[in-house]
Amino acid sequence: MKKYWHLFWHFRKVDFMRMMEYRTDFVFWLIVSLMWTAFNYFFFFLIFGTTESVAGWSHQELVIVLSFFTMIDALTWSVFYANMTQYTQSVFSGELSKYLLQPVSTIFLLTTQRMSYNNIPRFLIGLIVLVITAVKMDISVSMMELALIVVLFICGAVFIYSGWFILATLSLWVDKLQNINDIMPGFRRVYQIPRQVFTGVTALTFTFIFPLGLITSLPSEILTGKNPPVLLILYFIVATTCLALTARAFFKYSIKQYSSVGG
Amino acid sequence: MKTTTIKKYWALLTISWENGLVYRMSVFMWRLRRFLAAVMALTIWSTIYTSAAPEATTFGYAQSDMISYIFLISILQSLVLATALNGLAQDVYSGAISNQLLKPLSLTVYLIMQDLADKLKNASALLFEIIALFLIFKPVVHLPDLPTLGIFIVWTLAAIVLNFCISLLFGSLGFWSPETWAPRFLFYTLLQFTAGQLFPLDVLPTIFQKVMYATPFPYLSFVQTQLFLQKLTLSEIQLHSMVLLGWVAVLAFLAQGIWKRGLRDYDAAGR
Amino acid sequence: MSKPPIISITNLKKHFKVYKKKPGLWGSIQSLWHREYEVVKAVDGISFDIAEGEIVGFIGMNGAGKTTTLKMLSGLLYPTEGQPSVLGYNPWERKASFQKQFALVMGQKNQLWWDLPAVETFYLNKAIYEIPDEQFEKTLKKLVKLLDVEDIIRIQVRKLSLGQRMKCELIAALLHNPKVLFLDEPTIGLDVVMQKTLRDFIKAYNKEFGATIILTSHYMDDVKELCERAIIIDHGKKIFDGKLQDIIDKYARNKKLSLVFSEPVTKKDLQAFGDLKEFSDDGSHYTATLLVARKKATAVAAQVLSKFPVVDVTIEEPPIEAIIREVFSKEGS
Repeated sequence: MKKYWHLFWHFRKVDFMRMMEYRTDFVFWLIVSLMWTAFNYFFFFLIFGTTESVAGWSHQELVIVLSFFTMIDALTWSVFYANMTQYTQSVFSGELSKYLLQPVSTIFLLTTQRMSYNNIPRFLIGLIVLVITAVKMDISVSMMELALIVVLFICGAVFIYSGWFILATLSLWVDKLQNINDIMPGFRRVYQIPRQVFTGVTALTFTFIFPLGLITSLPSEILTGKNPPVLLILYFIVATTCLALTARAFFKYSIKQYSSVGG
Repeated sequence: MKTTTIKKYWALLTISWENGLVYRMSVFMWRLRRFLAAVMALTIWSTIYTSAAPEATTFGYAQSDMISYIFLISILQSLVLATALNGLAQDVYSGAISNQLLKPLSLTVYLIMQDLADKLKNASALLFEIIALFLIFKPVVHLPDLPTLGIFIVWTLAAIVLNFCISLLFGSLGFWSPETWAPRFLFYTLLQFTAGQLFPLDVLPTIFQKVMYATPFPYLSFVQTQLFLQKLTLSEIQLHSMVLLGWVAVLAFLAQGIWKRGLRDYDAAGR
Repeated sequence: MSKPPIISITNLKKHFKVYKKKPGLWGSIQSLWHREYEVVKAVDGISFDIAEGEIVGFIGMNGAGKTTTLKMLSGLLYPTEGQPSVLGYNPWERKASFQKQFALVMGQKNQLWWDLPAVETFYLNKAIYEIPDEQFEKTLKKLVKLLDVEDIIRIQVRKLSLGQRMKCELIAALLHNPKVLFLDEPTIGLDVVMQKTLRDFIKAYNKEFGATIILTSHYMDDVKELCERAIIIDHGKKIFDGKLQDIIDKYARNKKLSLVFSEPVTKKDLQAFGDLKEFSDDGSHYTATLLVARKKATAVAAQVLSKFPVVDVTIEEPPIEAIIREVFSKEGS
């Protein structure tokens, strides 16, 4: 465990050095990410400004959803995207074999090796807007609720990560899947809005079959006192656990296959 | 044109088409992403309208108008913005275009064929997507009259040419700089918000609209939808036609000049 | 050389302006208005004529300007000075009628469509070069047979080995029966057997079609076996142009005598016969290498044989690499 802790911070140090080496690139991506955040909030107000409420959510409540989204999205680019591109590239280049030989969990390597710092400000913006809005709305939450919000937020991140990991692992099976890493970001819009927006088939899909719609909705609902069904919360936690375990099992199985073919 | 010339370009088109279909899974993933984007935009707008009073019009769009707008723009962008030339700058920088330069073949026509094959590939996938979207959202699309439809087709073709010229310009960066991805990315970031995929541009404050109309962005598919939805007056149609063709002419001229210059500086990498 | 030259260049120059770019995006933005240039004279005033049907070897170190010259002859690069003439054309104009008569094959670059079988590229080239059906079928059959690739041309190119791919590259380049052929490191990275196969093929192609060929190679064997004439380039300048044998005669003043003895001999005794390059005596094996003037080599060998307990002797020309190295060091000093 200690080894992994050290490794984790070692990777962060390497990332930091890389960032310093390419400072200007860092600044460039920082600007792009901030621009993106600003656009997001701007257009959000623009579009939803026309109606009193959307699917039972008031303006300020929607801002809370968007802020949770902004935080998750910062993780998406800083952590998930960086690592997953590294993963699929290592499959194409055959470098994956090298990772497999190291006396460290491969999943750990593939998950933590690369992170970029350029979305940290974005995460902070999301957090700050979230706090400000909550204060403005005069929201008070108990410690229990706060803990639950944090757990659900982490669940959301793990859910996306596991789904993405399964997709990326497909590149061990199918040739030349360069744009596999665009799929999960393609789903981002689903959790940019509250789950109640969806009706009919899409509601069924994004709440139960592939519960992306719960990622930002559940924490927001708890925070705004909408009291989501306890069963739904449990369902999401169980679904996330299952997906994470599936991702792990699928990876192990694929690696076995990959190694026996000989990459 | 001689028959052998036609054969030549036909062969190019078919091999590009075959090449594009080698990795079907990859194509499928790309289309899935586009499809999802369309579904999401349509879902959001449907909800906004159902949340508001049913007869309300938002920004001068009735619900059915808005749905057909999003529907149209999704289709148009799939056709106009999808391009095979995203990697062109890299090919220039790495010297991969030498292969085409050595052959009795026009590089421009070669690139056109590549792009065309890519568009055909996207268009055929699009056909199924349109059917699916139709079944899910049941948009009411009123076909405009024949002359308008004619202008619409011409404008769409012009937008495709416009995007081709923009791709050429981005591609020419490879003659001088290895860093070809960042500018392209910035362009796409802007495009995401300015080409009208999420919302019609006329919902923006006037000042933004004015700035935007000074750029080629709205001409890449937004004005086409406005024409199709019959939101344009005759004088607006005339104006947009001129500006659109103006952009095409200017950018084509620019691209041609820069490429001519670039080929002189070309170092066919791998000295 | 009674025939008129098919390739002719006079005082050809290519100077690249390279600038030291600062890393990162900002560096490249900065470099838009401020650049520190450095001029690299990749090719600096080379002249030569090549007659129809010749096979000429370009020899030079890495970065000597061989490939740059070939690229100018192909019309890929715009010369800084001097106008090459190939088949009577200015290559830079890239006229279709010119391009239909020549081909450039680069060992490290490929024209084959990576994700499709090679035969698809062949058919594409048939259309691009407007090759008549009959001629195409005939040439393809012949080339496929010569290179023995019937089985592989229908396999995705990316799944082929380097040697197989190179063979297919050559076919793709030769389908239109080019009169002029530029081969840039065609055997790079190939194993010895494959190198030999390609060499034999190139020779056969030259005979069969009377094609003019310029070849650059790292492997001296390629040049030695294929080219009567060699052009040596160093730092963008031509430093030798003539028969390969002439270089050997001019620069290889010595021959190498490798000796194995049955009993110990002394260094001093051997040194009387020539330049002693190697000497080893580990108590059971006794060997030595002597450099001897070319003309006296046979006589010296006879003397050594009679005076020492020689078990084995070989007399060799020094490897051509060594000769070239000598040429370069001479020019450099």
